[in-house]
Amino acid sequence: MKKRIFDLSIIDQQLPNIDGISLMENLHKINPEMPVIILTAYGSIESAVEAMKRGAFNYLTKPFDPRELLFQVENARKSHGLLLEIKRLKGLLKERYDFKNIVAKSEKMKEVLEKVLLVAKTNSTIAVLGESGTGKELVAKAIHFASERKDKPFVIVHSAAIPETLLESELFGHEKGAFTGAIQSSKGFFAQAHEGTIFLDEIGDMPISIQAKLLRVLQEKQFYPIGAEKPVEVDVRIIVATNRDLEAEVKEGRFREDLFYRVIVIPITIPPLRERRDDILGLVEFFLKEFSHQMKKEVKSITPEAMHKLMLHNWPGNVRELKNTIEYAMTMTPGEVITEDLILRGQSASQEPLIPLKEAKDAFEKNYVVRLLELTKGNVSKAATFAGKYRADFYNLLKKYNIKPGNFKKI
Amino acid sequence: MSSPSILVVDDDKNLLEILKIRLESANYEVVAVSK
Repeated sequence: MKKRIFDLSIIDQQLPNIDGISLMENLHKINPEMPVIILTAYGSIESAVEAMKRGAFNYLTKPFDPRELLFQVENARKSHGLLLEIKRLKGLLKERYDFKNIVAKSEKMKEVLEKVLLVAKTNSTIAVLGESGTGKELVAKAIHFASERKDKPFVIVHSAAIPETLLESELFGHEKGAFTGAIQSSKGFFAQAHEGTIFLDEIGDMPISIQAKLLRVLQEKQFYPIGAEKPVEVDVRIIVATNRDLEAEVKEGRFREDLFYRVIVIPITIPPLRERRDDILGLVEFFLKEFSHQMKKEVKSITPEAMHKLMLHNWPGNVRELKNTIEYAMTMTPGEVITEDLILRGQSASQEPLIPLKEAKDAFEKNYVVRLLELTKGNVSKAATFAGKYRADFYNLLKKYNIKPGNFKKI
Repeated sequence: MSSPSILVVDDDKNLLEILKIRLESANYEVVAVSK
Protein backbone atom coordinates (compact mmCIF):
# COMPACT_ATOMS: atom_id res chain seq x y z
CA MET A 1 0.00 0.00 0.00
CA LYS A 2 2.79 2.37 0.92
CA LYS A 3 4.42 2.15 -2.45
CA ARG A 4 1.38 3.48 -4.22
CA ILE A 5 1.31 7.13 -5.22
CA PHE A 6 -1.92 8.89 -4.32
CA ASP A 7 -3.06 12.27 -5.50
CA LEU A 8 -4.27 13.18 -2.04
CA SER A 9 -4.64 11.71 1.44
CA ILE A 10 -7.15 12.17 4.23
CA ILE A 11 -5.76 10.93 7.52
CA ASP A 12 -7.24 10.73 10.99
CA GLN A 13 -4.89 12.25 13.46
CA GLN A 14 -5.36 9.56 16.11
CA LEU A 15 -4.83 6.08 14.77
CA PRO A 16 -4.40 2.96 16.91
CA ASN A 17 -0.82 2.12 15.90
CA ILE A 18 0.63 5.35 14.68
CA ASP A 19 -0.31 9.00 14.93
CA GLY A 20 -1.68 10.52 11.78
CA ILE A 21 0.97 13.21 11.50
CA SER A 22 3.79 10.65 11.48
CA LEU A 23 1.95 8.64 8.87
CA MET A 24 1.66 11.82 6.79
CA GLU A 25 5.37 12.39 7.12
CA ASN A 26 6.09 8.85 5.98
CA LEU A 27 3.88 9.33 2.96
CA HIS A 28 5.57 12.63 2.20
CA LYS A 29 8.90 10.84 2.06
CA ILE A 30 7.59 8.96 -0.96
CA ASN A 31 5.59 11.81 -2.48
CA PRO A 32 6.59 15.13 -0.94
CA GLU A 33 4.01 17.24 -2.75
CA MET A 34 0.89 15.20 -2.04
CA PRO A 35 -1.67 17.34 -0.20
CA VAL A 36 -2.81 15.82 3.09
CA ILE A 37 -5.95 16.72 5.01
CA ILE A 38 -5.79 15.80 8.69
CA LEU A 39 -8.93 14.91 10.64
CA THR A 40 -8.70 15.98 14.28
CA ALA A 41 -10.86 15.37 17.29
CA TYR A 42 -12.96 18.20 18.61
CA GLY A 43 -10.98 20.65 20.71
CA SER A 44 -7.48 19.66 19.69
CA ILE A 45 -6.53 22.86 17.92
CA GLU A 46 -2.88 22.60 18.96
CA SER A 47 -2.37 19.30 17.22
CA ALA A 48 -4.13 20.71 14.17
CA VAL A 49 -1.66 23.56 14.11
CA GLU A 50 1.14 21.06 14.58
CA ALA A 51 -0.15 19.11 11.59
CA MET A 52 -0.14 22.22 9.43
CA LYS A 53 3.39 23.06 10.50
CA ARG A 54 4.58 19.64 9.53
CA GLY A 55 3.16 19.84 6.06
CA ALA A 56 -0.57 19.17 6.11
CA PHE A 57 -2.58 21.05 3.51
CA ASN A 58 -5.44 21.63 5.91
CA TYR A 59 -7.37 20.05 8.79
CA LEU A 60 -10.97 19.32 9.63
CA THR A 61 -12.36 19.04 13.13
CA LYS A 62 -14.66 16.12 13.80
CA PRO A 63 -17.56 16.00 13.46
CA PHE A 64 -17.63 17.67 10.08
CA ASP A 65 -20.00 18.04 7.20
CA PRO A 66 -18.93 15.70 4.37
CA ARG A 67 -19.62 18.56 1.97
CA GLU A 68 -16.98 20.56 3.77
CA LEU A 69 -14.56 17.69 3.22
CA LEU A 70 -15.34 17.55 -0.49
CA PHE A 71 -14.78 21.28 -0.69
CA GLN A 72 -11.40 20.91 1.02
CA VAL A 73 -10.43 18.08 -1.29
CA GLU A 74 -11.19 20.17 -4.33
CA ASN A 75 -9.26 23.10 -2.91
CA ALA A 76 -6.26 20.93 -2.24
CA ARG A 77 -6.37 19.52 -5.75
CA LYS A 78 -6.51 22.99 -7.22
CA SER A 79 -3.63 24.41 -5.24
CA HIS A 80 -1.61 21.27 -5.85
CA GLY A 81 -2.16 21.78 -9.56
CA LEU A 82 -1.00 25.38 -9.25
CA LEU A 83 2.06 24.31 -7.32
CA LEU A 84 3.03 21.89 -10.07
CA GLU A 85 2.41 24.56 -12.67
CA ILE A 86 4.64 27.02 -10.82
CA LYS A 87 7.37 24.41 -10.58
CA ARG A 88 7.09 23.69 -14.26
CA LEU A 89 7.25 27.39 -15.16
CA LYS A 90 10.20 27.98 -12.87
CA GLY A 91 11.96 25.09 -14.56
CA LEU A 92 11.20 26.61 -17.93
CA LEU A 93 12.52 29.97 -16.82
CA LYS A 94 15.68 28.47 -15.50
CA GLU A 95 16.22 26.62 -18.73
CA ARG A 96 15.64 29.82 -20.63
CA TYR A 97 18.26 31.76 -18.72
CA ASP A 98 20.67 28.97 -18.24
CA PHE A 99 24.18 29.50 -19.44
CA LYS A 100 23.47 27.09 -22.23
CA ASN A 101 21.28 29.78 -23.71
CA ILE A 102 24.02 32.34 -23.89
CA VAL A 103 25.95 31.90 -27.10
CA ALA A 104 29.63 32.26 -26.36
CA LYS A 105 32.10 30.89 -28.85
CA SER A 106 34.35 33.93 -28.83
CA GLU A 107 37.12 34.28 -26.28
CA LYS A 108 35.75 37.62 -25.11
CA MET A 109 32.34 36.20 -24.34
CA LYS A 110 33.81 33.13 -22.67
CA GLU A 111 35.72 35.42 -20.36
CA VAL A 112 32.48 37.22 -19.51
CA LEU A 113 30.74 33.97 -18.64
CA GLU A 114 33.63 32.77 -16.51
CA LYS A 115 33.38 35.98 -14.57
CA VAL A 116 29.62 35.56 -14.22
CA LEU A 117 30.06 32.08 -12.76
CA LEU A 118 32.68 33.34 -10.38
CA VAL A 119 30.60 36.18 -8.99
CA ALA A 120 27.16 34.52 -9.10
CA LYS A 121 27.56 32.71 -5.78
CA THR A 122 28.55 35.86 -3.90
CA ASN A 123 26.18 38.55 -2.73
CA SER A 124 28.18 41.40 -4.19
CA THR A 125 26.61 44.16 -6.19
CA ILE A 126 27.36 43.73 -9.86
CA ALA A 127 27.41 46.27 -12.65
CA VAL A 128 26.72 44.91 -16.12
CA LEU A 129 28.06 47.32 -18.69
CA GLY A 130 27.71 47.26 -22.43
CA GLU A 131 26.14 48.90 -25.43
CA SER A 132 22.43 48.73 -26.03
CA GLY A 133 21.37 45.32 -27.31
CA THR A 134 24.37 43.36 -26.05
CA GLY A 135 22.28 41.27 -23.65
CA LYS A 136 22.81 42.87 -20.26
CA GLU A 137 19.50 41.59 -18.97
CA LEU A 138 20.30 38.07 -20.09
CA VAL A 139 23.58 38.16 -18.19
CA ALA A 140 21.82 39.55 -15.09
CA LYS A 141 19.33 36.68 -15.26
CA ALA A 142 22.13 34.18 -15.69
CA ILE A 143 23.77 35.55 -12.55
CA HIS A 144 20.52 35.24 -10.61
CA PHE A 145 19.81 31.70 -11.75
CA ALA A 146 23.37 30.61 -11.03
CA SER A 147 23.18 32.00 -7.51
CA GLU A 148 21.85 30.58 -4.26
CA ARG A 149 18.89 32.91 -4.70
CA LYS A 150 17.66 31.16 -7.83
CA ASP A 151 14.37 30.00 -6.29
CA LYS A 152 13.60 33.48 -4.97
CA PRO A 153 12.23 36.40 -6.96
CA PHE A 154 14.10 38.11 -9.76
CA VAL A 155 12.70 41.62 -10.15
CA ILE A 156 13.51 43.75 -13.17
CA VAL A 157 13.24 47.54 -13.00
CA HIS A 158 13.59 49.53 -16.19
CA SER A 159 14.37 52.83 -14.51
CA ALA A 160 14.15 54.85 -17.69
CA ALA A 161 10.66 53.60 -18.48
CA ILE A 162 9.14 54.81 -15.22
CA PRO A 163 8.30 58.53 -14.80
CA GLU A 164 10.46 60.21 -12.19
CA THR A 165 7.48 61.09 -10.01
CA LEU A 166 6.46 57.46 -9.76
CA LEU A 167 9.88 55.90 -9.50
CA GLU A 168 10.33 56.32 -5.76
CA SER A 169 7.00 54.75 -4.96
CA GLU A 170 7.59 51.97 -7.47
CA LEU A 171 10.97 51.16 -5.99
CA PHE A 172 10.32 51.52 -2.30
CA GLY A 173 6.54 51.28 -2.01
CA HIS A 174 4.23 53.54 -0.05
CA GLU A 175 1.87 53.52 2.89
CA LYS A 176 -1.83 54.05 2.50
CA GLY A 177 -2.54 57.78 2.33
CA ALA A 178 1.09 58.77 1.77
CA PHE A 179 0.04 60.96 -1.13
CA THR A 180 -3.10 61.82 -3.09
CA GLY A 181 -4.29 58.69 -4.78
CA ALA A 182 -2.46 56.30 -2.48
CA ILE A 183 -5.64 54.55 -1.47
CA GLN A 184 -3.86 51.47 -0.30
CA SER A 185 -0.32 50.73 0.69
CA SER A 186 1.85 49.13 -1.91
CA LYS A 187 4.94 47.01 -1.84
CA GLY A 188 7.78 48.40 -3.89
CA PHE A 189 10.15 46.50 -6.15
CA PHE A 190 12.74 46.22 -3.38
CA ALA A 191 10.28 44.56 -1.01
CA GLN A 192 9.14 42.23 -3.78
CA ALA A 193 12.73 41.20 -4.40
CA HIS A 194 13.31 40.25 -0.75
CA GLU A 195 15.70 37.27 -0.54
CA GLY A 196 16.07 37.43 -4.30
CA THR A 197 17.73 39.68 -6.83
CA ILE A 198 16.75 43.09 -8.11
CA PHE A 199 17.98 44.17 -11.52
CA LEU A 200 18.12 47.93 -11.99
CA ASP A 201 18.42 48.49 -15.70
CA GLU A 202 19.60 51.83 -17.04
CA ILE A 203 20.77 53.03 -13.66
CA GLY A 204 22.58 55.85 -15.43
CA ASP A 205 19.17 57.37 -16.16
CA MET A 206 18.07 57.40 -12.55
CA PRO A 207 17.30 60.87 -11.16
CA ILE A 208 19.70 62.16 -8.55
CA SER A 209 17.00 62.30 -5.85
CA ILE A 210 16.42 58.56 -6.15
CA GLN A 211 20.14 57.86 -6.22
CA ALA A 212 20.44 59.03 -2.60
CA LYS A 213 17.78 56.54 -1.52
CA LEU A 214 19.41 53.81 -3.51
CA LEU A 215 22.70 54.47 -1.78
CA ARG A 216 20.99 53.95 1.55
CA VAL A 217 19.66 50.54 0.48
CA LEU A 218 23.12 49.55 -0.68
CA GLN A 219 24.82 50.69 2.50
CA GLU A 220 22.31 49.77 5.16
CA LYS A 221 20.10 47.17 3.50
CA GLN A 222 17.03 49.13 4.49
CA PHE A 223 14.74 51.81 3.13
CA TYR A 224 11.69 53.89 3.98
CA PRO A 225 8.53 53.35 1.96
CA ILE A 226 6.91 56.72 1.23
CA GLY A 227 4.94 57.81 4.27
CA ALA A 228 6.38 55.11 6.52
CA GLU A 229 7.87 55.91 9.89
CA LYS A 230 9.93 52.79 10.25
CA PRO A 231 12.46 51.55 7.73
CA VAL A 232 12.02 48.19 6.03
CA GLU A 233 14.92 45.78 6.11
CA VAL A 234 15.61 43.82 2.96
CA ASP A 235 17.98 41.10 1.91
CA VAL A 236 18.44 41.81 -1.75
CA ARG A 237 21.19 41.19 -4.22
CA ILE A 238 21.55 44.15 -6.55
CA ILE A 239 22.59 44.01 -10.18
CA VAL A 240 22.71 47.25 -12.11
CA ALA A 241 23.19 47.86 -15.80
CA THR A 242 23.84 50.84 -17.98
CA ASN A 243 24.98 51.65 -21.47
CA ARG A 244 26.25 55.04 -20.36
CA ASP A 245 29.75 55.92 -19.32
CA LEU A 246 29.10 56.24 -15.60
CA GLU A 247 32.46 57.81 -14.90
CA ALA A 248 31.64 60.60 -17.32
CA GLU A 249 28.21 60.96 -15.73
CA VAL A 250 29.91 61.41 -12.36
CA LYS A 251 32.15 64.14 -13.76
CA GLU A 252 29.14 65.88 -15.25
CA GLY A 253 27.45 65.76 -11.87
CA ARG A 254 24.57 63.60 -13.08
CA PHE A 255 25.55 60.54 -11.08
CA ARG A 256 26.55 60.52 -7.41
CA GLU A 257 30.16 59.67 -6.89
CA ASP A 258 29.53 57.70 -3.68
CA LEU A 259 26.86 55.63 -5.45
CA PHE A 260 29.21 55.08 -8.38
CA TYR A 261 31.83 53.49 -6.15
CA ARG A 262 29.15 51.36 -4.50
CA VAL A 263 27.76 49.90 -7.70
CA ILE A 264 30.92 49.56 -9.71
CA VAL A 265 32.53 47.06 -7.29
CA ILE A 266 32.39 44.23 -9.80
CA PRO A 267 31.98 45.44 -13.36
CA ILE A 268 31.16 42.95 -16.08
CA THR A 269 31.54 44.42 -19.53
CA ILE A 270 29.80 42.73 -22.43
CA PRO A 271 31.67 43.41 -25.66
CA PRO A 272 29.70 44.75 -28.63
CA LEU A 273 28.87 42.19 -31.31
CA ARG A 274 31.31 43.71 -33.82
CA GLU A 275 34.13 42.81 -31.43
CA ARG A 276 33.06 39.20 -31.17
CA ARG A 277 32.15 38.24 -34.69
CA ASP A 278 33.01 34.62 -33.85
CA ASP A 279 29.67 34.48 -32.09
CA ILE A 280 27.57 35.53 -35.07
CA LEU A 281 27.27 32.04 -36.56
CA GLY A 282 26.32 30.54 -33.19
CA LEU A 283 23.77 33.28 -32.58
CA VAL A 284 22.25 32.83 -36.03
CA GLU A 285 21.84 29.11 -35.40
CA PHE A 286 20.36 29.83 -32.00
CA PHE A 287 17.80 32.28 -33.35
CA LEU A 288 16.93 30.01 -36.30
CA LYS A 289 16.07 27.29 -33.80
CA GLU A 290 14.22 29.60 -31.45
CA PHE A 291 12.10 31.26 -34.12
CA SER A 292 11.43 27.97 -35.93
CA HIS A 293 9.91 26.82 -32.69
CA GLN A 294 8.03 30.05 -32.01
CA MET A 295 6.75 30.60 -35.52
CA LYS A 296 6.09 26.92 -36.11
CA LYS A 297 7.92 27.35 -39.39
CA GLU A 298 10.94 25.25 -40.24
CA VAL A 299 13.70 27.49 -41.49
CA LYS A 300 16.75 25.32 -41.29
CA SER A 301 19.60 27.23 -42.77
CA ILE A 302 21.03 30.32 -44.30
CA THR A 303 22.95 30.61 -47.56
CA PRO A 304 26.72 31.26 -47.40
CA GLU A 305 26.17 34.63 -49.15
CA ALA A 306 23.63 35.71 -46.57
CA MET A 307 25.95 34.58 -43.78
CA HIS A 308 28.77 36.54 -45.37
CA LYS A 309 26.63 39.66 -45.30
CA LEU A 310 25.89 39.09 -41.63
CA MET A 311 29.56 38.62 -40.83
CA LEU A 312 30.51 41.92 -42.51
CA HIS A 313 27.82 44.07 -40.96
CA ASN A 314 28.85 46.40 -38.18
CA TRP A 315 25.89 45.66 -35.85
CA PRO A 316 25.40 48.99 -34.12
CA GLY A 317 22.31 47.48 -32.48
CA ASN A 318 24.28 44.41 -31.39
CA VAL A 319 22.63 41.05 -30.67
CA ARG A 320 19.17 42.60 -30.59
CA GLU A 321 19.67 43.87 -34.14
CA LEU A 322 20.89 40.46 -35.27
CA LYS A 323 17.88 38.83 -33.64
CA ASN A 324 15.50 41.22 -35.39
CA THR A 325 17.29 40.68 -38.68
CA ILE A 326 16.86 36.92 -38.41
CA GLU A 327 13.27 37.22 -37.30
CA TYR A 328 12.48 39.43 -40.29
CA ALA A 329 14.21 37.09 -42.73
CA MET A 330 12.49 34.03 -41.28
CA THR A 331 9.11 35.69 -41.52
CA MET A 332 9.63 36.74 -45.12
CA THR A 333 11.29 33.66 -46.54
CA PRO A 334 8.99 31.41 -48.55
CA GLY A 335 11.20 28.37 -48.13
CA GLU A 336 13.42 26.67 -45.60
CA VAL A 337 16.49 28.70 -46.35
CA ILE A 338 17.32 32.34 -45.69
CA THR A 339 18.77 33.98 -48.74
CA GLU A 340 20.99 37.01 -49.08
CA ASP A 341 18.24 39.31 -50.39
CA LEU A 342 16.32 38.96 -47.09
CA ILE A 343 19.24 40.10 -44.99
CA LEU A 344 19.71 43.70 -43.92
CA ARG A 345 17.51 45.24 -46.56
CA GLY A 346 17.30 48.97 -46.84
CA GLN A 347 20.49 49.59 -44.95
CA SER A 348 21.89 52.99 -45.84
CA ALA A 349 25.47 53.40 -46.97
CA SER A 350 26.59 54.82 -43.66
CA GLN A 351 25.76 51.52 -42.04
CA GLU A 352 27.67 49.51 -44.57
CA PRO A 353 30.52 47.49 -43.16
CA LEU A 354 33.98 48.87 -43.20
CA ILE A 355 36.08 46.87 -45.60
CA PRO A 356 39.77 47.20 -46.42
CA LEU A 357 40.62 50.20 -48.61
CA LYS A 358 41.84 47.99 -51.44
CA GLU A 359 38.51 46.17 -51.62
CA ALA A 360 36.57 49.40 -51.41
CA LYS A 361 38.65 50.92 -54.21
CA ASP A 362 38.22 47.84 -56.39
CA ALA A 363 34.48 47.79 -55.84
CA PHE A 364 34.25 51.45 -56.76
CA GLU A 365 36.49 51.05 -59.80
CA LYS A 366 34.52 48.13 -61.14
CA ASN A 367 31.24 49.95 -60.65
CA TYR A 368 32.71 53.04 -62.31
CA VAL A 369 33.88 51.17 -65.36
CA VAL A 370 30.51 49.44 -65.74
CA ARG A 371 28.72 52.77 -65.58
CA LEU A 372 31.02 54.26 -68.22
CA LEU A 373 30.39 51.35 -70.55
CA GLU A 374 26.66 51.64 -70.03
CA LEU A 375 26.90 55.32 -70.88
CA THR A 376 28.98 54.75 -74.02
CA LYS A 377 27.06 51.63 -75.00
CA GLY A 378 30.20 49.52 -74.87
CA ASN A 379 32.43 51.93 -76.78
CA VAL A 380 35.82 51.42 -75.15
CA SER A 381 37.55 54.41 -76.79
CA LYS A 382 34.85 56.80 -75.61
CA ALA A 383 34.81 55.26 -72.17
CA ALA A 384 38.59 55.59 -71.89
CA THR A 385 38.43 59.23 -72.94
CA PHE A 386 35.78 59.96 -70.30
CA ALA A 387 37.93 58.30 -67.69
CA GLY A 388 41.02 60.18 -68.83
CA LYS A 389 42.82 56.92 -69.45
CA TYR A 390 44.74 55.43 -72.32
CA ARG A 391 42.84 52.76 -74.19
CA ALA A 392 45.43 50.14 -73.23
CA ASP A 393 45.10 50.99 -69.55
CA PHE A 394 41.32 50.87 -69.80
CA TYR A 395 41.53 47.40 -71.39
CA ASN A 396 43.61 46.32 -68.43
CA LEU A 397 40.82 47.42 -66.15
CA LEU A 398 38.29 45.47 -68.18
CA LYS A 399 40.48 42.42 -67.91
CA LYS A 400 40.99 42.87 -64.19
CA TYR A 401 37.27 42.87 -63.50
CA ASN A 402 36.37 40.48 -66.26
CA ILE A 403 34.04 42.98 -67.92
CA LYS A 404 33.10 42.39 -71.54
CA PRO A 405 32.32 45.61 -73.43
CA GLY A 406 30.36 43.57 -75.94
CA ASN A 407 27.69 42.97 -73.31
CA PHE A 408 26.86 46.65 -73.27
CA LYS A 409 26.37 47.08 -76.99
CA LYS A 410 22.79 45.83 -77.01
CA ILE A 411 21.63 48.18 -74.33
CA MET B 1 -7.60 10.59 -17.81
CA SER B 2 -8.13 8.33 -14.85
CA SER B 3 -9.87 9.80 -11.83
CA PRO B 4 -7.64 11.17 -9.05
CA SER B 5 -6.86 8.73 -6.26
CA ILE B 6 -7.37 9.46 -2.59
CA LEU B 7 -6.06 7.55 0.39
CA VAL B 8 -8.34 7.73 3.44
CA VAL B 9 -7.06 6.47 6.79
CA ASP B 10 -9.33 6.38 9.82
CA ASP B 11 -10.04 3.82 12.53
CA ASP B 12 -13.72 4.77 12.60
CA LYS B 13 -15.13 2.28 10.10
CA ASN B 14 -18.50 3.97 9.83
CA LEU B 15 -16.96 7.31 9.00
CA LEU B 16 -14.61 5.60 6.55
CA GLU B 17 -17.56 4.06 4.74
CA ILE B 18 -19.39 7.41 4.48
CA LEU B 19 -16.33 9.21 3.19
CA LYS B 20 -15.67 6.50 0.63
CA ILE B 21 -19.20 6.72 -0.75
CA ARG B 22 -19.13 10.52 -0.78
CA LEU B 23 -15.77 10.78 -2.50
CA GLU B 24 -16.53 8.05 -5.01
CA SER B 25 -19.73 9.77 -6.00
CA ALA B 26 -17.61 12.87 -6.63
CA ASN B 27 -15.64 10.75 -9.09
CA TYR B 28 -12.56 10.03 -7.02
CA GLU B 29 -10.92 6.67 -6.74
CA VAL B 30 -10.81 5.89 -3.03
CA VAL B 31 -8.62 3.54 -1.08
CA ALA B 32 -9.96 3.34 2.48
CA VAL B 33 -7.77 1.94 5.25
CA SER B 34 -8.80 1.50 8.84
CA LYS B 35 -5.49 0.83 10.54
